[in-house]
Amino acid sequence: MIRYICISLFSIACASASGSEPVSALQYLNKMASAIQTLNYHGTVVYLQNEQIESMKIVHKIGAQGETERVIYLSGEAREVIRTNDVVTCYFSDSQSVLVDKQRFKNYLIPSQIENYDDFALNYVFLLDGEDRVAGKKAQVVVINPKDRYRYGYKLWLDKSNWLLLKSEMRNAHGKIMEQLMFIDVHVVESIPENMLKPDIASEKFTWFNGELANGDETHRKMDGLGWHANNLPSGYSIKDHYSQAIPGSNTPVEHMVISDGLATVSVYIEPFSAESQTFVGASNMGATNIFGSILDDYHVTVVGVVPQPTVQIIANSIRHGKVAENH
Amino acid sequence: MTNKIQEQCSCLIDGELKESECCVVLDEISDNPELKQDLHRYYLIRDAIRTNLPGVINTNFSQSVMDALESEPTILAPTFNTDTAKESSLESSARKDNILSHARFYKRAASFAIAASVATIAVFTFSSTNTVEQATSELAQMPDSSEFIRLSKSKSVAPKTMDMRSPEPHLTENVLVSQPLSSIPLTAKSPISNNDHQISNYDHQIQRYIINHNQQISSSRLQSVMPYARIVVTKTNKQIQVQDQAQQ
Repeated sequence: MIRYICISLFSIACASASGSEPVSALQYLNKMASAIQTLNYHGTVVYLQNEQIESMKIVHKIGAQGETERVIYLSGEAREVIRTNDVVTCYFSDSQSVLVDKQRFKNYLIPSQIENYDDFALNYVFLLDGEDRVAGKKAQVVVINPKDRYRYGYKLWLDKSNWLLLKSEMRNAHGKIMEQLMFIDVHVVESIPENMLKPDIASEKFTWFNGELANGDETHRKMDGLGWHANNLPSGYSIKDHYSQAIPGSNTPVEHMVISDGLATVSVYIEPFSAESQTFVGASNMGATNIFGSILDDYHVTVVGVVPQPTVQIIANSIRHGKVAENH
Repeated sequence: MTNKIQEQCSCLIDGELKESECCVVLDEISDNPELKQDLHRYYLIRDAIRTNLPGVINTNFSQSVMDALESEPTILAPTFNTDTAKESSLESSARKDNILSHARFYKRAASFAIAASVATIAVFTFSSTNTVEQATSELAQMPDSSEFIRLSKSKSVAPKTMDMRSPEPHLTENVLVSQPLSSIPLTAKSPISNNDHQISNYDHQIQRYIINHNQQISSSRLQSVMPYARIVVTKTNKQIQVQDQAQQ
């Protein structure tokens, strides 16, 4: 009940502040969220990053077993990602490896499931931007603009017939497109055959890595006692979760801290750093994904996120090891 | 610009001044454009030493850092003799020795740190298709040294003094920027000599983090399958398994 009261208050506040537009934008996003949870579809998308275009096939099924999603890379070496509910399996034919892990942090912008609208309103502006055509379909355009340079914004094209997300752009604070994903053809169908969700890559002889620690429940062991915390995070960001996990190639568990503003999400990985270790310090990026590495005491801190470079750098410099003095 | 204020600038960058001293130095800097320029140069040198440079770099960068070093003779040869004679406390003397060590350290350490930084940056940058434009954009967003000073002046944010360990594999000891010169192994080999090995390791390490982040973090339905698109296009190298096996 409190959630719905908050939503109502937020809607009224938005309406009184700048007309009914923000409320409509949120309503469209709500419809989009429902469409993703109810539609079976498959199609081809193009993905633009670093001015390079890649193509992929996507299959999405909602069934008795829940939700299954398959992404097939159509260029270069064969690679696939299959998500079955929370379990994400990545197949890499070039490295002959399969990585299995769980979605551990969900932060869906679904109005009926979100309680922190005030947080969103502080950091983002929700707007409508007319209509357009994508993949031959009439689309409603919704824009989410960041209010500062510490997060990216979105421009979304929703199919007006079923509210499926047809095109998504991620933009920086200056409006520059950082990433783009767009259906060039999409088919909404009654059902998806099981064979469309099986990987084409024969992985029996591959090396399999599981993100779960050997002792199972310990994967989500809270690390509050270890005293890692963050001071002076960028506006709107806070620690949402932290746990220990296994990372392929690491002999010791890695501390994983999740920091989010409610929409953008940043991972902080903390590993022991020994004299024999080789690591990196400084900034790096892959498209819209920014990485910043630093050394703190005897630990290597790596911050990864689809956020602007200053954000990962500030977060890296915010990480401290010691007794947690504040409530998170 | 006097030697004294230069020394204080050096200490300011290293976060070694008291708050009251910071205010005095900052006031002087704020009224002196030449001093602002010098301070900016110090930050550039410091960042090179700490390999804290931006992820994308233009081809003239290392030369510009070297030029900055060459045009900075005073801090490297401070004239303490007169002042030192007047100073009687051990604390003061030790502090000036430390400043001298700093100055020498900056000059000598920078010569290899620049090479390390540039080499590391080459490793950091996965794709160069739009790097110059992106670098310009990102750097334009970063606070410059003058903004940094303003923050310091507010006393709410102290100058950064994070201890950085060199990524250079031969330097296995903690390298603190404020460490005396004698304790820093400046005789280490050129960082570039082991460049190839570093590249493969850094690549591998960054790949693991990017893939893991996109596997675990479903930040929003807004992104549709974008996290998985990032996974399948993440540049992987065929050494991933070879390296893992070698490590086991």
